[in-house]
Amino acid sequence: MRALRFVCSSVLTLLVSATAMAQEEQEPTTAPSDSATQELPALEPAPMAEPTTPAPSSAASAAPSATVNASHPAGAIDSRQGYAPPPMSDAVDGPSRDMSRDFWQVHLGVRVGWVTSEGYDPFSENDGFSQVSMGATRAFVLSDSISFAPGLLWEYGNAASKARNAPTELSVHRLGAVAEGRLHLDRDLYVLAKLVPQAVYTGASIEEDSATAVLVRNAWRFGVDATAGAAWNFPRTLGVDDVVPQFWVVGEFGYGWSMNQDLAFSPDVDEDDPRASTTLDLGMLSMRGMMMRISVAMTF
Amino acid sequence: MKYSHAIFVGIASITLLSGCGDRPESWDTPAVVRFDKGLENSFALIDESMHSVHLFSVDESLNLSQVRKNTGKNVVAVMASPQADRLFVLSKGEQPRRKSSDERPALWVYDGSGSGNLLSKYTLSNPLDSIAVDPEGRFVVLYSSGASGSFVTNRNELLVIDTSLPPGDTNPLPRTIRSFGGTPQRLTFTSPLNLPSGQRRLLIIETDQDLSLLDLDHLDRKEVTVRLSNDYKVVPAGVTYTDGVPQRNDDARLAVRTTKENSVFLLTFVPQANASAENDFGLTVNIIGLTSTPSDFAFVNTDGGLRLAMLEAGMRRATLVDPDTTTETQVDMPASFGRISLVTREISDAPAGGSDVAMLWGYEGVAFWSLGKSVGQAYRSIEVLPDIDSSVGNVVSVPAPNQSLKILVPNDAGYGGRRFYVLNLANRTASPLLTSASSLSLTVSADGQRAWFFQRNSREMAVVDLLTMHPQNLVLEQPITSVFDIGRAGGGRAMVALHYQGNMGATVVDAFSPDEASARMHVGLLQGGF
Amino acid sequence: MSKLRWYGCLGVGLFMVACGANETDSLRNTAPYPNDTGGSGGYEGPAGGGQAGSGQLPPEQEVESAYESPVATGRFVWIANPLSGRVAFIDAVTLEVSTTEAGNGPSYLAPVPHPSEDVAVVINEVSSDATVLRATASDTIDSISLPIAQQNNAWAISSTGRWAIAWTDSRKIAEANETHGFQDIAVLDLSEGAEKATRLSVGYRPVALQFSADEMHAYAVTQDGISVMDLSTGNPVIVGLIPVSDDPFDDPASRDVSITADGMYALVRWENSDRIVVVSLENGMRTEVNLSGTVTDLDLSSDGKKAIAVIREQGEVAVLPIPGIVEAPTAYETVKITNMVVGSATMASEAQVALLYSNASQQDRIAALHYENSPATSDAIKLHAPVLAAFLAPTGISSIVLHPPTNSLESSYVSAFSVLHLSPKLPAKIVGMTAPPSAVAISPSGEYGVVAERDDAKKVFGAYLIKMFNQQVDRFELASPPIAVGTLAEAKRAYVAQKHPEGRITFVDLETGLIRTLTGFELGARVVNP
Repeated sequence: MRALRFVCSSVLTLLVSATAMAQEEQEPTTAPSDSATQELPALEPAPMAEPTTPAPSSAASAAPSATVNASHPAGAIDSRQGYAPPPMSDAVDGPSRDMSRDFWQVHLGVRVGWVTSEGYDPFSENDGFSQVSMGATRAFVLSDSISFAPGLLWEYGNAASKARNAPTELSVHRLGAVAEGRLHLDRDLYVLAKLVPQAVYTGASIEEDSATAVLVRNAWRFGVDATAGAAWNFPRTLGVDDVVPQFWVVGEFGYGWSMNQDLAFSPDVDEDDPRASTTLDLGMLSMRGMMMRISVAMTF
Repeated sequence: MKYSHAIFVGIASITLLSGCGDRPESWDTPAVVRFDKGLENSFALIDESMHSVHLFSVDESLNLSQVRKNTGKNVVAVMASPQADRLFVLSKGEQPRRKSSDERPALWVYDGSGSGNLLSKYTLSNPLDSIAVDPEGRFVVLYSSGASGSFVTNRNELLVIDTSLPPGDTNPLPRTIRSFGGTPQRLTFTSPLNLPSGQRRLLIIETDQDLSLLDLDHLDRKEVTVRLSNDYKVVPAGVTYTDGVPQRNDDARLAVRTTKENSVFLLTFVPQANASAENDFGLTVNIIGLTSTPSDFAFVNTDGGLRLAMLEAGMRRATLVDPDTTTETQVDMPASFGRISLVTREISDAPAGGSDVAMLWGYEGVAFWSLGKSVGQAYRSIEVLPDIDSSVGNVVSVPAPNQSLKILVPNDAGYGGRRFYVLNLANRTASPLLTSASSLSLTVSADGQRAWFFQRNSREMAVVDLLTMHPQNLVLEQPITSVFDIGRAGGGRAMVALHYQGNMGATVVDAFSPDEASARMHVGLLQGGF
Repeated sequence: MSKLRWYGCLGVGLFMVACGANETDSLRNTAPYPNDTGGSGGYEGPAGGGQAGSGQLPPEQEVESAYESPVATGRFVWIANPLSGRVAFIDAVTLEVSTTEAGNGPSYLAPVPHPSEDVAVVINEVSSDATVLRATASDTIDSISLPIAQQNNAWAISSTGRWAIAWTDSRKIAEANETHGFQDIAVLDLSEGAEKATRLSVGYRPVALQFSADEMHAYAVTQDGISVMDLSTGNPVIVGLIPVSDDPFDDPASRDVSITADGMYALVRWENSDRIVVVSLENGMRTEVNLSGTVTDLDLSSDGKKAIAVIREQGEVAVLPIPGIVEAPTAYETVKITNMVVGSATMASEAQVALLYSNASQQDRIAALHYENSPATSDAIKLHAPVLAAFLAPTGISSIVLHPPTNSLESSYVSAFSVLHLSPKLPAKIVGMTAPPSAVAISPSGEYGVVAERDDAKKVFGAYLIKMFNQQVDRFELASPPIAVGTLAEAKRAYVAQKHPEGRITFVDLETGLIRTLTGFELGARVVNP
């Protein structure tokens, strides 16, 4: 719960900051217009824009950003033909990319899983297990609307409770490789399907008074998260100009699976300590179940 | 801005949804253990917070395997059967009962051999808090000690349960004992007595002013009550009984001593003179007078026949009374002994002719009393053990094959340690052993080979091989509350020391080769498993 | 059973009255524990100590019991418990104890002769009535209560058992005011099925009651004279008063009145007088018999045919024939007793033998007077201690002689008694006692005797079983102070009743010496065995 609150606070902070930053970056060259009501101009090559001081971007950002004429947004949408990516332009500072899909993405969010395993009961009074989730991907555009984004993911969560008056603690690290497929429905919206095979590390402990040392059980296991969701570039949708980086809200829902983990606790002592043979078996822990992930992604 | 709202709602939803689901309440309930019992091949813990019985057995690797069974709420008493093969748990149930589904008081009987199966459950109509178990393991009598807290309690109501029969309308059988104002204090089950009307087992109920006898073979009959005085000021303090000569059915007797009277009541079972009476035996009562209140007594066979041997505290003599004539013979003693135990069967040099040998013990050491010479040559019948110079507070018997051994536990602590003895009745030797413990607890193995000594809430303990008298000291990790010597699966035996810390721990060692290095410590015995 | 045998069977804590002793000057050494209040007990020695020489000898002592004691009928021993209102009756053969309810405060028991049943009567002191108890053939007790006068504390029973008179012996009442005349008596007709009581008034302070041989009349010896009751009609009435002295103001304390067994005559002896007056109870005629000197003792034979008057100062004994002495006042035989002082006489009830002795002197001798033939002969017997009292068997073949307490520091004995066998004559056997004697009984046949000893301060209680024929004496311990002894011819047992809150009696088999003690007579009644 604490992790969840931390993550939520962080996400809120990031959202507010991102919104504010997006509003600061905005330099309307023409009268602000509501993209929803603006008439679509004829398709013709847009003039090269003068390079401007790029907006601060995350370290992951490498491609130069460009200020886009709001009256001539790149990748104009032809309602008859769908989204068409803007033509590549010969930029003095490097090739231009469709920042609506061809981007690096880093995310910070929260992963919430529902662990119904009985082995989880000593560590939590409910079935929820929240982890802060961080990761990065790089999208590769496969077609007009499909991209593939491999990446890395790290998630960490902690639960603590009491098992019959004995304090317990469970920490879980997930280190995974992300394989994400995206279907871009719009420049500001895409749906995704993600598969994250991962190495799951669980560290469990219990301070049982009948033992003379804290009892621990640590182990690595294999797991896989399979989720589907959507990402939404809410600032741009709200009217923020194309700036770099962009901020997206990503929501996923799916199932997380990991191998069973036995909870055969033993004292946290040296191997040659006679107490090392003491065990306390609290059954099997299976950190698997429905999950959802909400994050704020920054693309650049 | 509604998108922002959507975001916030989404995050709030995550927060709320992450609190879904719960876990069994048992995780939030600390273990409450007040009762533990050692059985033949297992030991039992009663977790009162979870209303469960946990039976643990030891395997070849000194691991514990556990069987958990539900039991009643509000457990008030737990006892093991004399053969240690069953566990009796008495519960009060839910009081007061508001719903029909609220649990009633009950006696739960579990298999103590390791399976932990619930053998029987005898539901009661009222909560009771005391239990007496028949030494032969058949009957269990439940009664109220008066501390049950009920608004109204009938302390003279007994519930007699025949555990060889399933629960039924008459099992348990409620019996309200005839009372003249007294309440039961002590129950004694007799072995089969050869009464004029045949073999019978009796339940002797000592109240605080009289005595009642219940025919266990005819529980439908009214009890026989013996009022010991007209002013009800005579308080029974113990009974002893004899079947008399095996070939006779008219010499079964019961003796009752009291707390203050300088006399012993002698009850003789005679044929029933009243044809309309329910019981087919009668009683005659006689009083044996002494000069002071007897501290202990026993029926003994002497060279002069059956006698009632009585000791008087502080007196250097014993009195032998012929129950037929009440003729008294005084036997001078070299010291004052307050207690007597028959050890005829445990010694190898019992007198010929069927006379008994008794062990006398108390504040001034130990002596043997050869009752084969007590009437004819009383002056030659006492043999004092000179090696035992301290007062003996308790004598613990050792099972076969070492039944000739007795462990003498001293009365009080002394400076520089306390001395206890392992007495060998066969050769009349006493091996002194010194302990630094201020209070000594003791468990003797069921195979008669070992005795485990410990002091409650201390980590130190020792095992003494009763053949070699070799002590081996052990220091465990946690303070010890109870010690059991139980059989192991696959053969062998194990010592289990219970630690009342947290959710209960136990240290298990091989009973035959106890060694701290090879001890297995088990923690959280009552943790998890819900 | 004949009247004489009944008297023989009693022998219960009643020390034989030496007839003729002075009422006032003689020290009536009542039984040491008249109200069982304890004390070292024993016999008080003669006032002023004993001195040799008949001229300066103190008066002879009258020794009799004033304590209610158990009574024996043919088969039962009856014991009253004033506190519980119950009378216990013990079958002397089976030693089975039963109890039955009497009135309020049953205290004074008496056996009632009956040809086939065991019958007893008891005065209930608190309820001022008497209960007649009959043991039926089925060993149950039938009882009926009849009103009597207040403070009646003694019985006189007719020889056939038809009549029983309850009267008040003022000598048993401490500090009786002179205004208490104790003149009310109750005459009970014990005819089975027609029991009734009649209250009458007799002279001042009766001292003895007796029936005529035909049971047509009863006589009460009072200070006013002899009250005569007519029983012939079945409705008792007082028909007159027969004065025993010419002087109506004669001091009754100075005289001693005895009535013959047939109720025909009364013999009156005065202190320090040499005359005896024989009063006809038929017509009141008085015949004066003058003897050679002061008559110190006067005894009547149980058949009423002879009277023996002892003239101590002359060393003579006069044998007075009755009724012949009335016709010829000088026609009596005088026997000179040489070598010893004689002042008292004890007559056998079934033989013409009497013992002559003096307990006022310190002489260690006694004489046996044989008066079946004329002239009567006397035979001196050497003793080893002075005589305090002598008890003669009804058959006259044996005797028990009590000796005064010894004050010698060299002796561990505080008292002694001697066993005499008169026919054949054997030397006296003296037996030392560890406590003063408290009760004596001799069996009707004279073959057995019992002497009880008691010292409450030193807690010495015992009894001696005496086999007269071979003068063997065996002592057995008693757990409680003895209060009465007796023999039961039919059961061949002797008994010693003892002081105990629950009642205690010890039976001794006269032949084997086997002892059985029963304590708690009413415990059996407190056994509830419906």
